[in-house]
Amino acid sequence: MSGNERRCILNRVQQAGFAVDEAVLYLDTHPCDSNALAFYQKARDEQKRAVCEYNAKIGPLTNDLVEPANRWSWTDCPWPWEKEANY
Amino acid sequence: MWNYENRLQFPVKIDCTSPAAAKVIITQLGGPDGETAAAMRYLNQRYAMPNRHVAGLLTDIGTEELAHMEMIAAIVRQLTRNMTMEDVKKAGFDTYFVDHTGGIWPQAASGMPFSSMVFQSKGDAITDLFEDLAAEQKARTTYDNILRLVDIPDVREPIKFLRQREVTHFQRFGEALRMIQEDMDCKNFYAMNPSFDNPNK
Repeated sequence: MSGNERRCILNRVQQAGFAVDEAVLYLDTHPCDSNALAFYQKARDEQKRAVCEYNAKIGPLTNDLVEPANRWSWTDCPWPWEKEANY
Repeated sequence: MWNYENRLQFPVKIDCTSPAAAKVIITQLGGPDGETAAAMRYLNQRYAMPNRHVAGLLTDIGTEELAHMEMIAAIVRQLTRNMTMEDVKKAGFDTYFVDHTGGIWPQAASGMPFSSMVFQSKGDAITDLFEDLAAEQKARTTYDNILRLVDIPDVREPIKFLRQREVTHFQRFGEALRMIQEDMDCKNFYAMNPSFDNPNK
């Protein structure tokens, strides 16, 4: 996979994740805002799709998403603080 | 990046009030061998750890330590949430109460505030892992001492759980140290720093 394609997949996770983070903070203090609730739902659904793609093409984003077939792959990929993980 | 789970790792359900017990247990939040020190130690050491499996172990144990901070805070809070002024004075909890009332603040039982001086991140894999092994034993001893001091069954159960986790972490760090030593030239064990002199291995 090209660096460009990896960068796209990671960007999608980061953008969707940030939209969710921002919506959560707003909803904590505005729990009945229907626009914000709809935004959250959209952002969360997009985050799920983005994480799914990341898992399939790059590796497990969280350790509960590791496929424990014959090897525990959680510690195989570069960690996010390594330059290699920031495409 | 972290996510929060809305649960404790092990339940904390304490009916009685005992600022006297809270006063010693808070040392495992902000004391020299407490859970804050543990979380900060591992989560800061992992950046310079040259072996990815060991760096992952530091992330995962460091994350669990954050959950242990929460358990200790929950124990202290539940032991003090209904205290009266009489309870405060009788337990000698007044010196904490005057600054924090019923709030949670990381300090040692002696009153010494939490400080990063209680842990190291040396940038040397061998040095750091020996520190981690020692830290787990020191925390285990502290939990043993808490169990000698506190006889409330609702408090002892989560404390016994936390004590057992120290033993498990010690075991895993022992294996991590072996992995790092195997990565190194065995003729040269202590003569180089695997985090600095050979950073890509």
